[in-house]
Amino acid sequence: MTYHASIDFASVKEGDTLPNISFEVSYTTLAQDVSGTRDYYPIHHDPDFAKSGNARNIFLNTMWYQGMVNRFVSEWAGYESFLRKLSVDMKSHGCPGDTLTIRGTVLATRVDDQGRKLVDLDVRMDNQLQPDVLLSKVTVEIP
Amino acid sequence: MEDASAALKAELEPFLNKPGARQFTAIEIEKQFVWDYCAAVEDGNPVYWDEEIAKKSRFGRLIAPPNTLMTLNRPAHWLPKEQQDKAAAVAAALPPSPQALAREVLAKHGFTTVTVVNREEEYFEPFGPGDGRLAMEDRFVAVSDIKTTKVGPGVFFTYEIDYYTERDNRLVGRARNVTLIYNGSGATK
Repeated sequence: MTYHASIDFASVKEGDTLPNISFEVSYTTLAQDVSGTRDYYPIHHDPDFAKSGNARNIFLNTMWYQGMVNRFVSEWAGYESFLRKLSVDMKSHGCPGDTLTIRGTVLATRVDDQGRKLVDLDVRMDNQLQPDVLLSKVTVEIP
Repeated sequence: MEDASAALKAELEPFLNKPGARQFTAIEIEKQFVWDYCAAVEDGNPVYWDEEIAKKSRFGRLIAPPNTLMTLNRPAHWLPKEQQDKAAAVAAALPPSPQALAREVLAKHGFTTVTVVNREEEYFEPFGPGDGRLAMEDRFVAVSDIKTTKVGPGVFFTYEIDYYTERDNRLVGRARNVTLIYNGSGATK
């Protein structure tokens, strides 16, 4: 992966799509999720516990999805970009064995009253079972 | 239900928009914390990893992903007994948060089960290793009328958390949480 500094704000248009990311979720992903987000609730590392609550298996937490959305957006916008707003709405669980596809669309571009160049994005994740397992709205600032 | 909603709102009003005492995260923002978080999602953004590139960037230094607010806020999973006692004493010395007191009012009415409906975060300034811990200040900002939901009667309860760096006391982010707090024993079949 080569990281670029910044996308050209003037070139971004409503309706543009971002390059998809595909991500294979494994048990190791879940272990890294638990460690990286410091979330030791057993639903994220103990399959028996997770299944007793009717989940398919252990599953990814909110903080992992926030991190993946930030990665997805900043790989497109560049490392000089800065996330200004983020909301995530999880519709289904992400479990070991799942393949997630992350996709995004530009909703609007604007310059705010502080002169910041902003891009509003709709970001979604699908898995092999269904579309829209995660819905996210993002605002990113481009320098 | 309109009368009950109005009465409940009147009980909650004294706690509305009143900030709680600041509480600090259990850990400092450090490079290894940032790298462990980024590794989980395989994020190689150089402003999180590469001091040289980060220094030349507009941030001027290594930063943390701004969306690590919730992760930084996680309690320590294990502490020696002495440290647990120390942390408990610090927490006990704080005045009760108006947000927590508002939840106690809801609990009195049977609304005890909490589920997060939506969380939105806003990021004002970058933060990163060297900024110390984060301080958090919460406040309850809105409550809905009593609703009948599939899981039982409940209210939508919204609270915000402001995040400040320990070094220089900079306001770096705000989280807005919309929760459904309900009485599960009143669920419809």
